[in-house]
Amino acid sequence: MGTQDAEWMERWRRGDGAAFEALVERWRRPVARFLFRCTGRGDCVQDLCQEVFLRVYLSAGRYRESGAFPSWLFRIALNVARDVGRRWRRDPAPLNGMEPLDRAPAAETLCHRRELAAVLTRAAAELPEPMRVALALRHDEGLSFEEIGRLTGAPASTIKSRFAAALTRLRARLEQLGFGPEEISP
Amino acid sequence: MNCPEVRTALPGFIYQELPPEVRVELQQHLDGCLACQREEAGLRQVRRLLAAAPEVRVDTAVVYRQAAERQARRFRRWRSLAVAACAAAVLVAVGVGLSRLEIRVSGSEMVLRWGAPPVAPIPVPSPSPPRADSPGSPPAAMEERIAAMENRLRVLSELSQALADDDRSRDYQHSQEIAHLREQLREWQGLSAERLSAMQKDFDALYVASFPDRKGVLP
Repeated sequence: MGTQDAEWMERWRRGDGAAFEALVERWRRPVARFLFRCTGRGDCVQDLCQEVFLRVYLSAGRYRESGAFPSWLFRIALNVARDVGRRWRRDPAPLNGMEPLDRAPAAETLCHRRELAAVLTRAAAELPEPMRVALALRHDEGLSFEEIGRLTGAPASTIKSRFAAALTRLRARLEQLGFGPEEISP
Repeated sequence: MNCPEVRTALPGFIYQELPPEVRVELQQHLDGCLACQREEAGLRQVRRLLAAAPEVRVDTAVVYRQAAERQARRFRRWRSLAVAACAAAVLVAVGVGLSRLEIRVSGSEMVLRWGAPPVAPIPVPSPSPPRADSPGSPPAAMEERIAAMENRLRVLSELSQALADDDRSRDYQHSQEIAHLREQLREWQGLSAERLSAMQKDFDALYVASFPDRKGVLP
């Protein structure tokens, strides 16, 4: 995978537009997932994704091949997410106004699962940024703690703690909102 | 393993990141602890429910266009900065030059000199003690300096005014040229339309002459 990215980058820098389009096609979904997790706003992901690839395009001359294309790409995506976060001045979804659910057992319908997923997405958007980044890169992208550490400039052990804390906080938040494991069992 | 240790290790357990021996030990604890089982079930649900991102499409044509726009904007900014820096350098050079220019009219001759002012003779110290009150000389020198400074400032202001006028006249000239080109283009478009119409008529006439039995109806 890394070799393929390196080859596309090399071809693109030699002027092959198709190589850039191949890179976009390969990475648009991971970048979208990452931005979605970091910002918690699905309505803006399309525009942010476009901005990430625009920055990739403009800064291709500064890229140095070292087999770390994903780290380079996600660092750009992280900067975009941070910029937009500053612009929004951290405008989280209004989860605080949400009432805890009735503890009566709910039918495990698709609709219910979607509702739960939406609640969890909004709860994830309320996490501190370092936890959101750890969650996005570990859970969504499957990067190792060492890779995430190199990308964010933090030790791998810190990333591991942040990831565990993010999961525990989400689980506690769900419980606080009335979604215990028995209500959401498969 | 006790409960706090298990709680710490549970995220690694559900993401299969623990060494096998720790995994076995943790599983043994879970088999006998309802509270930790509940915690584990909750974390597994979180893992399962973390929603996927919406589908996105990246339009590379838009990326290319925006990149070109940004590069053009950056170029324009650099060009403006370079022009401003050049203008400032010219103004400084002119200011320095004017400060060394001397124009003097005395009687029937005019002296125009550029360069360092003549070295004034070193005054021979008077044997008598200097007078404490020598009114007049420092204020007069100061006034002269102020007048010279005002003169330079006026010259600089006129220069910058002239530069601005020149810029405006160039803009006006360019807009006139563009208007003239537009006018020409409109004329050529009119001529082309006339020629096309004439050609159409010739073609119709030729068709009628060639195929009289079809009564001039073009296919």
